[in-house]
Amino acid sequence: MKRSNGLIAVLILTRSKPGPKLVFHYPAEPQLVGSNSCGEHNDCSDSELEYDEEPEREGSGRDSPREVTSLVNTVATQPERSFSHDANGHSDSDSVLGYHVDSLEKLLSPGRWSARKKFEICLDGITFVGHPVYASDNGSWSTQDHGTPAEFEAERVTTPTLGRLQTSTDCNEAAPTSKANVTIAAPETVGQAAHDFTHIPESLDSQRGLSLATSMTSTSTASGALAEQMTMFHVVFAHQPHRQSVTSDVYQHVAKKLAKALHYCQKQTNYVGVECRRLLAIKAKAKHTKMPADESLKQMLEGSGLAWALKEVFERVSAGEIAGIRLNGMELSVQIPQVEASTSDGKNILGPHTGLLLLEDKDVLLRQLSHSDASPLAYFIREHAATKSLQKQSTSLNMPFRDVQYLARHLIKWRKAQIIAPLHRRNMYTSNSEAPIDQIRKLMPVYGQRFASLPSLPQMLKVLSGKPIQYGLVIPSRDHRAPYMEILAFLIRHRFVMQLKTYGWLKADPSPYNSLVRSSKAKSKRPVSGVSLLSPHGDEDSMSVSSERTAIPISDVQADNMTFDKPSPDEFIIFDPSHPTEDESAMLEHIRESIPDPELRERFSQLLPYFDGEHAFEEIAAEEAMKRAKVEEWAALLDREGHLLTFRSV
Amino acid sequence: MLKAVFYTRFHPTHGPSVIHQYPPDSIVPSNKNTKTSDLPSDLENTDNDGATAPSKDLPEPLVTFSSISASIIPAYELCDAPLSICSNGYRVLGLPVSLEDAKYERNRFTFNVAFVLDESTDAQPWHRIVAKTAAFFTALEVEDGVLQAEEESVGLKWAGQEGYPARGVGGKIFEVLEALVGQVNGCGEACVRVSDVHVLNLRLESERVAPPEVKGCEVPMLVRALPAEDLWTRDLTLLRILPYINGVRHVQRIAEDADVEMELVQRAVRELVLHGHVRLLDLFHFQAIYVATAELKNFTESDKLQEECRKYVINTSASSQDDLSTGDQGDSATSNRVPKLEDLRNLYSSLTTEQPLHDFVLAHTTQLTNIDIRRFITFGLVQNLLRRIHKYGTLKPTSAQFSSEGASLSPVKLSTSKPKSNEAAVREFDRAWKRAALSSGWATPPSEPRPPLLMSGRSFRSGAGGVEIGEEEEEVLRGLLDGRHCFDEVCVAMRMAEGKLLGWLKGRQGRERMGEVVVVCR
Repeated sequence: MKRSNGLIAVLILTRSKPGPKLVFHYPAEPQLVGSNSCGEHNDCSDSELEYDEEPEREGSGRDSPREVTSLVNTVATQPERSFSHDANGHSDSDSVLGYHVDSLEKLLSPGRWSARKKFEICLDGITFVGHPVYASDNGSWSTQDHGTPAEFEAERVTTPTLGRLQTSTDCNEAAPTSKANVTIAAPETVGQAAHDFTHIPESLDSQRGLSLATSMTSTSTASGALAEQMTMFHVVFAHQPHRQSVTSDVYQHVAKKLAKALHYCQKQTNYVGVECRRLLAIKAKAKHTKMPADESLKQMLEGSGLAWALKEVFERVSAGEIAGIRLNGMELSVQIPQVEASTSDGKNILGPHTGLLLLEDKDVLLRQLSHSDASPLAYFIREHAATKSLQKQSTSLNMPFRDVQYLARHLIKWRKAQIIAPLHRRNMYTSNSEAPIDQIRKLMPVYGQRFASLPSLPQMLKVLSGKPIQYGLVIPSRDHRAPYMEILAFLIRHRFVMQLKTYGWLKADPSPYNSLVRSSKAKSKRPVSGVSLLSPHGDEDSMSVSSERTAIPISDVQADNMTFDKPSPDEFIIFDPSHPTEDESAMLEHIRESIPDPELRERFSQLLPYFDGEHAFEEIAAEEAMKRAKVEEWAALLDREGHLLTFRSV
Repeated sequence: MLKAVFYTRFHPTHGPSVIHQYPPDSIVPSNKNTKTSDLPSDLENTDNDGATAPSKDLPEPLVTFSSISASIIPAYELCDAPLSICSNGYRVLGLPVSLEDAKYERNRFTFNVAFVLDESTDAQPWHRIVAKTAAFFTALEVEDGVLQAEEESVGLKWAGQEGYPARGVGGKIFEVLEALVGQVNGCGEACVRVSDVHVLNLRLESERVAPPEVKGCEVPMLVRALPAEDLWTRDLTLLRILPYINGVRHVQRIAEDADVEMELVQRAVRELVLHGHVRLLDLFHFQAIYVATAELKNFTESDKLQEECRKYVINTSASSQDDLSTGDQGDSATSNRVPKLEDLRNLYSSLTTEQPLHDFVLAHTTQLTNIDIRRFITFGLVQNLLRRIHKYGTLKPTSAQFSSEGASLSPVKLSTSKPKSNEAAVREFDRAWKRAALSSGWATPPSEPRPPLLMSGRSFRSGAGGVEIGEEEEEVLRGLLDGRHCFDEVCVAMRMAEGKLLGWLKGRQGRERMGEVVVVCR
């Protein structure tokens, strides 16, 4: 389910008068993904598949492009990049990802041309992507420049009426909190705000950092004379993408979002400047006292909310999860959206008749909310039912549909819910081709605990992977409906089953034509053995069955010489009943007239658009506000009369 | 689509400079007034964009060279490795090369041949081209000193200078770039000759994704003829196994029949898959269950596909092949025997999870007349009209495993776990060391238990008492029943028919030795 995005490190650089500076990077010793390096791919695309050697080649992946040049005898001499520590456990603090910090600093602090744009550079298979942010020309970060805050705020505020419903995982809460914190830029606040780490107030460095910080904020940014005035900061994500699109995902959803938020904080309270100063101070001290690398990293993480936030982002996002961080007391969540969660592609549009399936238990979700009782989101979650369409929920909650839609989208975006067709006992469900069967062992106890007196997980799966039946037939009594629907939700949530839908077309003039000659011949003849390209000799041991045994043969005709007739004139399928040709209209009319049920005759034209092989019959009832039982009855009737060609698929 | 190529180097006095570019004006616009000032002089100062504003009547340069020059000609440390940067909606791919030699000013000659693509273009296929071009230019300079010598030729114009490009003044680099862009954009290939020894051959080839490893139970089927033998050197394994690839035999069977080691067969088949000559099918047998997919819509709507299907699935038996003269009979007789398209459509749509294939065949005998059911299924699979429903087995956790494995998940304490009997403990211990022996002694890595080939003697006999499974096989079976291996795989590895295996597992012996098995389809 989770895609690998090949994230290997996060770095933050600043630029001031003396030059660019790599302030912080995490992890201390970034590990290359190896197999994702493009060097490796170069080798793979040879016709030879060397999969035997793959494990050993992890490390050598990066060097392979170099071989190209070494082949032609480059005289360049340079230190071999290595990613490991020295033998004595001291890491080479002057190099990151195998490159000298100086080179990286120069490379990753581009000129003003890149300001507030995507910056992407790829070094030997490692792609660095970021969103550099510059101070205005006079070196100030103040908010006089109204362009960006407006932009940021526009992103923050979505629907004013829903201002209070944010979960803890949303950044929208930021505005009031951050404003409250603006006045006190003391480290304690930062410590409290980023509740996950402990600050060390007695540390000398942090004291110094504090004094600088306060002076910076108090004098505002008017004191541009400060030599070390930061003119740019740049958060860079290093990754080894296996596809180019990953890079734009990392940029769009992580790097850019983070940079914008930091820019906002920087303008408010010089947050980035203060934090970077603090980090540099710790770094300098660590260098001075020859502190081990992991110790200095620890100090940086403990001493700076920014460092901690970057670490969180890196760890969560590289694991494909959602990172919830605090910057200057302001909450922010970043993630790279999963493919299935994207609401942009046509199929996943949240229409009034779609339903929602929560991916976590209600009480778990409610606990995660900060104002669980008051917010509309909590209300929505509490009252949510997977069996109801959004439209119905909007009615029953007495909430405008747009708001329900917004809440649903919010839950989907943060991976708390997925779009489904509302669960219904008249729908059919079948086993999912991606069912995590190896998880059954683990899930059986969980399932057993939740649905103690009901059929076991394997039993349910067995029933649902057999003959396609309406789910209602599995439910023994009316009283069992609710728990069985819960089971269904559980099974869908864990990707064991999915809905089986019926599609079909109308066909005209069916013929009862049936060659009795053929069938009688077939029955009387034994299969004849033969040799063709695809037919091997028979073997008792073989489980695969060869052609001779799989065909009911014709005896005396060469297949190649058979005349293939045109599509039988005795069956005509109307593929697009919404836009029928003249002939088709006549046929449709003929079908309509032959229908015995007067109500169906009346509603016939209403049903037509669904007989195009693309719309599921299960959608008809909801979309056209008809009774499900009625629609089923009609479909069965049409089928009985031979007017329908149907197939089922997920 | 290659937008531009430019050759740039670090000039001892001018700093990073574009010497050649194609198309002309693509990177450095020729600016008549500021002929010299458009050569950026300071490597460090990257903030000086806008300094080289193009004059109005000239096309806008693709990228501002001064902005990215620090990355195109980077620190020595970063040279000799691919480096690309995005700017202005373009992606500039390069491989900076730094040559060190006393003959050069500053003892170094640093250059880069950079390729400009649209940012959205997939750069992956270009990396090799860039690397090869860089190697070619390196060879030109190292062996013949072409690059350095060219700059000394009289009348040479640099990119951006008035009168660029100056043709026929000795240098060939511009012509190389010109030919390269033209040929690569024209036909995806390029062959540029500088001298008899220096020929640059390039081909733009998108990378194929390596297919997953081939399983023993998969059936390779040729879907595209292999190139003729004189055009394509076939390796020995392929020569050996090719006659056995017929869309019916599974890989393990091919290995046995051709007497080739399984790993080699897997490798050869995988390569055929990579090059699109082979599709892997699942094992065809009558216990298999197939269901229709949404693709059936396209099949039903496409007469062409249905005709193709009919031609393919129609049964060709040997008796009909021996006498061609009987072929051209009256139409009335033959048309009766040709499967109707209507039947094909109905047959595909009536495959459901409900019935395994043998029931399906029995239920549709009439419609299936003259249809080779195996070919019918194969066609469905190749065209993605059908999906095989695989059975998976997973061992139900015993109460002991329950509490250990599911501890984190279920706080329910299982009080029912009785103290194990002595005999059971001995058996458990026995199994543990066997498992250890199996995983160490075999060539397969222990992390991913793969079915070892049980070539040496079959330890199960289907005697009067049914199936017999030896202790080693039991261990293998246990490893396979983890919910990740479908029953085809298990059956092939165990060399048992599905029915027999299921019978054994559900029988008294199987239950005693393996515990309860959960069988799930998907």
